[in-house]
Amino acid sequence: MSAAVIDRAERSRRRFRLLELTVVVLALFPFSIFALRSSDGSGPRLVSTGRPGRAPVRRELTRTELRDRRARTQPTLADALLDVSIQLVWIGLAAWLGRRWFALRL
Amino acid sequence: MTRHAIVATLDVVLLIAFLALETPGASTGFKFHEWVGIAFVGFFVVHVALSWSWISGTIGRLRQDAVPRIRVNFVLNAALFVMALVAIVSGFLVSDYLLPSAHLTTSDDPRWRNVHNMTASFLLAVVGLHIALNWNWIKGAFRRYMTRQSSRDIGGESDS
Ligand code: HEM
Repeated sequence: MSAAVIDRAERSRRRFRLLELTVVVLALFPFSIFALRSSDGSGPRLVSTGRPGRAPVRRELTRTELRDRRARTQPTLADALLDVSIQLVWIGLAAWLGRRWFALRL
Repeated sequence: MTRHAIVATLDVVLLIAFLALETPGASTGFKFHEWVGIAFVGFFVVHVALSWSWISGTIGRLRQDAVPRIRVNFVLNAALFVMALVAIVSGFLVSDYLLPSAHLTTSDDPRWRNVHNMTASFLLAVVGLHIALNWNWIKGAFRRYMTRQSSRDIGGESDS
């Protein structure tokens, strides 16, 4: 096999691995966001409002309800550190994947 | 301070402010979040102003035959700019403390809160890509900073 063919095979193998990694990261992102966005510890931002005999309807909390919940939760320094670290991990992952993609294609 | 040093320092401040903004629940609290948001607007404007020669130069080059890296960088920076703008504007729209305390009515529509939260979340990824594309600049700035520190330590010259 010529060097050019090996080179092309290696590149497409690397590209495929990178694609796999990117798909995994993209799949994890929404979980992290929905978990994170109640980072104040106040839990999900949806409440059920059901009339008897009817299926419950989910609605978003109002601003006043959110404010009340947040006033009841006192995040600790550990919460803050954990939350900032999670954001850093996401920025870092995007930067790392981005660098690999750009190195392959640009 | 050289122009380089000013830009690099501002970038670090911008990143710290961004991280604080991304974690209002656990780090700043929501009232302070809005103050940090206002400060962020100022840093953001200065950051864009300091990049102005790059922006106008790149627009000129796009009309000619720019290499793919320049095109990708431009599209990414434009996306970052628009998303930051949406996050800021929607932040003001749902403001819970600052604008109401100035007797301005804001929205309690959960859709605006979602716009704010979603753009903030996707900004994490775009900021990461922005760092990736400018990695060599960042490495260079860090190296320059370290060299200046060590030349100061051995009594060398500083450029301030
Ligand atoms: C680029 C700048 C900004 C970023 C990245 C950002 C980020 C965020 C994030 C991540 C949340 C989610 C809160 C949660 O855990 O549910 C949030 C909420 C909030 N932000 Fe910002 N923000 C920015 C600018 C602003 C500005 C300028 C204001 C107003 C002056 C503002 C006002 C608010 C308010 C009132 C909330 C609470 C809304 C809610 O209940 O979801 N933000 N912001």
